[in-house]
Amino acid sequence: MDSERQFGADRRPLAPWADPAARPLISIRNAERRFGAVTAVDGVSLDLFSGEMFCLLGPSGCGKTTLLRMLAGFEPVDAGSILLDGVDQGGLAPHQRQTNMMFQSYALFPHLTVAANIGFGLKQQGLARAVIRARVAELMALVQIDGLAERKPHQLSGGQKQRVALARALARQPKVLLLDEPMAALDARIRAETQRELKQIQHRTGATFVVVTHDQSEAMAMADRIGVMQGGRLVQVGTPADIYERPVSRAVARFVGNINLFEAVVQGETADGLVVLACPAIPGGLSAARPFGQLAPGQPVAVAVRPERMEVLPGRLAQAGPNMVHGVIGAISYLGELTVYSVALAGGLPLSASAVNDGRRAVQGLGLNAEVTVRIDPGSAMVLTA
Amino acid sequence: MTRAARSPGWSRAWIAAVPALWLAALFLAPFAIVAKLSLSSPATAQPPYTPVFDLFAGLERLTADLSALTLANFTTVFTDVLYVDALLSSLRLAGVATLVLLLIGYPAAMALSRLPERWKPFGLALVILPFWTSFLIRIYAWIGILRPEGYVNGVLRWLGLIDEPILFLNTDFAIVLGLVYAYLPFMVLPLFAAVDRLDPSLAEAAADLGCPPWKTFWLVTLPLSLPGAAAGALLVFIPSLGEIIVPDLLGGSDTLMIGRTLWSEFFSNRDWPLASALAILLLMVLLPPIILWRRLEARRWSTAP
Ligand SMILES: Nc1ncnc2c1ncn2[C@@H]1O[C@H](COP(=O)(O)OP(=O)(O)OP(=O)(O)O)[C@@H](O)[C@H]1O
Ligand SMILES: [Mg+2]
Repeated sequence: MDSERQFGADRRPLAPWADPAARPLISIRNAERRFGAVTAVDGVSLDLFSGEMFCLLGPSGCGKTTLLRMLAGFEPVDAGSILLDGVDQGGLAPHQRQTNMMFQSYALFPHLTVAANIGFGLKQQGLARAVIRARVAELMALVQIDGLAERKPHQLSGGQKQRVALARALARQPKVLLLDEPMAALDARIRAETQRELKQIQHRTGATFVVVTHDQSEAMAMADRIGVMQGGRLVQVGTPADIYERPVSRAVARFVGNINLFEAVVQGETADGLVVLACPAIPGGLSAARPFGQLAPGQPVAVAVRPERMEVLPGRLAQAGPNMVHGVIGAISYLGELTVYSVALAGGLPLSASAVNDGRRAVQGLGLNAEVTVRIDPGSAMVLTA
Repeated sequence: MTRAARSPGWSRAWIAAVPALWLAALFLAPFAIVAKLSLSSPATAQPPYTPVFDLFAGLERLTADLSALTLANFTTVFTDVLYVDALLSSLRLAGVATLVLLLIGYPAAMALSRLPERWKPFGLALVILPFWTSFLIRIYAWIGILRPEGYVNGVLRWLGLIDEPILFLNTDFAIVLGLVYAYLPFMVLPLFAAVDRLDPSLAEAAADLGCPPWKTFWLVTLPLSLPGAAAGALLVFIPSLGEIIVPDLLGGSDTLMIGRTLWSEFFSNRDWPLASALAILLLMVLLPPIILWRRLEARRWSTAP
């Protein structure tokens, strides 16, 4: 619980997923979807709560879109069930569901104006024209596209189309808004800005957003919780900090952020809760923070260390003990706020370590081909069993 | 200017000239001949009309021939109720057939476009398959199906639904049926092209925003495939209007359709000038919808992305 506070809980006043008494808005139970021999969604179970921003993250083809389409009702649930507010959605057609979707292609109606596109769903609810007009104006202000009401979709820029699609999907005030790669078509600069806006809009509308993305930095920037999918399975669900600091497997660790992975074997534990490991890449030995669950001596594991949790010291320190390793700088990437050093270890293994360029500390002796000693913080080294 | 610099202009001129010549040879020249015929008078001679222009008989003869041209055939066409009735009844039958074809064509085209990608060519082949058999024979076959002792009446009688055979043959019903049967592929193919091109996520978006399937069709699929529907409607309406074989084989002797009237004026009465006047009239009736369609197409392209 202590680490929970440290990493995420205080960023957010509310964490219904951590509260066993909280009632989920959506319950996905062992949901499965098969296409012939391919199982696109494979036994996914997940609870989503009211008002949260949930990101489905995973590599291409892992089944994110399919899961989203199952929630919208476009794909049947071959096994398992999906409940919204406790009601099984099984027999409901898309037009009967309380979800709305923002399509990756935006799917704006090309023959209708922006205002008619946004008001389309409201018209189906049989609202009066004046009410629709007022609501459309409100939505256009929310997504900041005032003045475009009479344009047709082909007269809009990519960013404007994206906003129209978002406004259209929000119009019916859905309990759950499903967004399939909402930023994919935007360029990097607008993307960061739009991520912030999307988050604000989510706060203001209070709806649950389920956002599909394959961009981990996007998921980290927006999500309250992230669900990592791989090969149709949901392999880890947690806050961005959970996913980053405590990945459950090598695959998740590799997918989220940059990471160094060392194969190692468990040797024992110290009194202060560290695991002692034998690691071929680090001759001096390695100690790392204990993971959840049991470890047996002799068990093969992986140790994962983020580049920013390593310290690169100039020179070959003679008293290199545990968690220290010698190497030679093979490449230096200056990234503005960071400098990333690629260090070739004695055994030839590459390792990447980064340092913040805070300007106060002029780093000397860290040129190309310089001999260095890399120190790994034991508390930040993660032991991965899967 | 070198030759190299001139040659692209030349080749472009050629590219423009070929279709122009083609159009002149296959459309304008026959049209001029028919137009001239429609202004001539019938004669018991070979060819069966006067005047016959002879460009080498001198200017005097030519002016005499020109002054012999007359609008009498058009007067006949417009004053004799027979011809006006034939035209109106053709318009009615072709119009009904076009509507029925739209009603059948849309579900057919949408079903085809929903086939898995690898089955689509097969489905389209089935639509075109009837063209492998002669049009005449296929229409003829309907006589066997529809006549009083035919298959339909046989089945109905066997089911005990009727005692007396129903008269299908020689009715307007049979004509519309024949037209619908004959021109179905011409409706389905352009409709399929229009419907299949639509992004399926548009229909999904409509459903997501609360439209049941029929409303999705009405608000999204139909308006976005209208150009295909217009193309299909023109493709079936135009030949239906002048259709000869279907009314001849399936229609009654009292059924008036302009194509059949034209045919009998030409071949039975040997009144080539009157038949030509009818042909011109038919063309005039067809021009407005064609021009309208071209207009719509042009407008669509100027606003499309
Ligand atoms: N309609 C379909 N028919 C057959 N296979 C499908 C269909 N839709 C998806 N699949 C398969 O299911 C798997 C998951 O697809 P999905 O579109 O959900 O992936 P994704 O995670 O959204 O990928 P991306 O990031 O590339 O969009 C893929 O292997 C895909 O080929
Ligand atoms: Mg996808």
